[in-house]
Amino acid sequence: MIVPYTELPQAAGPGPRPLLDLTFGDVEDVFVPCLADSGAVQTLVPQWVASDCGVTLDHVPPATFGVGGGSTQARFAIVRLSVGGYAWEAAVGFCDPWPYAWGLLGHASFFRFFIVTFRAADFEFELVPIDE
Amino acid sequence: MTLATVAGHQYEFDASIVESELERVDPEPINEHYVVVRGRRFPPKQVLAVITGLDRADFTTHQARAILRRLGFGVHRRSQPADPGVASKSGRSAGGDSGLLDAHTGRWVAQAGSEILYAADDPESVTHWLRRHGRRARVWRVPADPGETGSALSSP
Repeated sequence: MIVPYTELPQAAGPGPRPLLDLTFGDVEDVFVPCLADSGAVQTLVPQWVASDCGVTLDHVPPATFGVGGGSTQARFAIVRLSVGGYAWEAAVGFCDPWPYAWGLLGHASFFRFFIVTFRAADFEFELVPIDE
Repeated sequence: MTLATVAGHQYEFDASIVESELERVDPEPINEHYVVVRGRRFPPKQVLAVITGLDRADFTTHQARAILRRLGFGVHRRSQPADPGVASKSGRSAGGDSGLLDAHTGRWVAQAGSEILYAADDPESVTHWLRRHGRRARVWRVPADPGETGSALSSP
């Protein structure tokens, strides 16, 4: 699957970004853009995504992560993620507060499931699912 | 002020009144034609129905477009159907969405391909709109400053 980088509004700074539209849980009508962030360990998304896909986090202890020069409280749950017809289950941290316009896809729950090739000169990246 | 006869009734329309009447109206999905009112896109028949109180079966899209154009609003036709979710193509361009998003910085939007279907101040309003209209789209807050787009290491 070849995915073009996403251009941003001028106010957000220069440079298109490698965003991937994912669905979470059984939700099929809401795509959440997430940055393919090769420097991230965990996969983190804003908390509204958990509410939207019906994930209950009430009894999950929060973990503190540093993001964007501040910190956030993440509550983890195993959820189904899917992109382009490929689905897998992995731990996702649902965060509040959340400073970014998108979620972050890290090694533990995203990169280990794909071979990801960035072609920055062409403003695109390619995903190939790894058969396990 | 614009005079027009619709379904046998004569109306006086004023652009500023149309704008204020639509302030609290959610745009419905665009099929082919749309009119831009204060940066939001509405189906022309939805707008004319709101400002006249008439049933949409009482007039045509052509009539609605003509009246709204005379009032000074931009009336357009969608170039192609929008594709929700992941784009999958190759090329050296990054898609050219920058201008599209500039008008919505800081707001939550439902984006399908190169079209903004709906914009609101919170994600719940956007997802409710999508489900009410049976649409699928990327839902996100369009970043308004570089602080919302920085990469980060997410280690404990």
